[in-house]
Amino acid sequence: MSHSIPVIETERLVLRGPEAEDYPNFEATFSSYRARFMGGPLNAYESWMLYAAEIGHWQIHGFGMWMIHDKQTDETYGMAGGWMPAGWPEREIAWIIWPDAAGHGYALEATNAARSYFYETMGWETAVSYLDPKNLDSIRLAERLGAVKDHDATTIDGNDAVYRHPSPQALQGSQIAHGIEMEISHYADPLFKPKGWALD
Amino acid sequence: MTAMPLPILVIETARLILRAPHSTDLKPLADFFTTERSHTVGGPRDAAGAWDSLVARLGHWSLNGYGLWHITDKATRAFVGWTGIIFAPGWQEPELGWAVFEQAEGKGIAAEAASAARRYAALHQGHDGVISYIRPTNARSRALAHRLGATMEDLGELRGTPCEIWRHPKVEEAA
Repeated sequence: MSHSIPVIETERLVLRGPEAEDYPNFEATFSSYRARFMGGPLNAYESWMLYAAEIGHWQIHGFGMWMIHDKQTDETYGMAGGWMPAGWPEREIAWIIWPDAAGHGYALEATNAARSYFYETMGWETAVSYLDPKNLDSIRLAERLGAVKDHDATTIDGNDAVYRHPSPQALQGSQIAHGIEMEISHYADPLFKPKGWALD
Repeated sequence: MTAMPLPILVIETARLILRAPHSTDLKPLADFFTTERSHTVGGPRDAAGAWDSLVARLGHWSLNGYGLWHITDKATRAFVGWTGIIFAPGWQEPELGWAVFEQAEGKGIAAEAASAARRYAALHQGHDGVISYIRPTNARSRALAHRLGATMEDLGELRGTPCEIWRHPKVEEAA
């Protein structure tokens, strides 16, 4: 039952399965206030067990969270992918960016690539993101990805807002898809300096 | 593809098969974690906690190269408990752990599984003469540790709970 985790390359990033040597970066973020919307901050034991669970999730479901690496330097920036532990009403597309890697559009680029993989390679017809209503950065990212608040969808525990991603058909050749490509290419262009709020 | 090393080889004993945790083990695992028997081995846990435990066991193998096997009855294939080496933040060194569900109690199943796991860990995973953390109230596990030739070495704690630390003999001594 040993699954291999696919590798995804984007313009600036490589997404790979979580590996032991990437754990210190994960722990640094999950033991910090940055993880407050993901059940953190966690102690050393909880953080390690969550990282182990990230790996086991791939084994059980055949999908999971990828580690986001810089294509040139291999440095890690965060994680993005699919997440469905016990109690989740449906499959979630999730992301987290290490605090000092925020503001470069890495979450957008990685999450967009992960969603494309789930839609095109794994045949998902839909996906949601469960977001804390106070997590404004993630809500903005969900909206940039074309997700809209789904008032009818079942929440995890009533404290989260459900954002539904556009379906594969709705995304195909759409203005949203084009806008995402444009934004990513602007981030990748060193002459472009994004203005306004800090973006993941 | 990222290689996903999950080196969980199957161990066969006279009556048992020790294998990787499977998704089909979730229900019996969740049931066990609602019982009082689970309180000395990380329980109680709700259904979500049981799932977290199951997936973390798989990730433990990936991260450490060793971990917990699920014990199954060779004849019925029923999942009846677990054993293997555990090491995570808070552990002073890798530990041989075990637990069996109520229906498997009193048949020597824990002893058969734990001694097979201990032998495998010593011969193939580089962990010989390991410890076991045992709650002072867990008389059955203390008795089993004694039967396996382990001796109480020290008092310590694991994640804030007082524990006895038992030391196992090296495998050639245990024969």
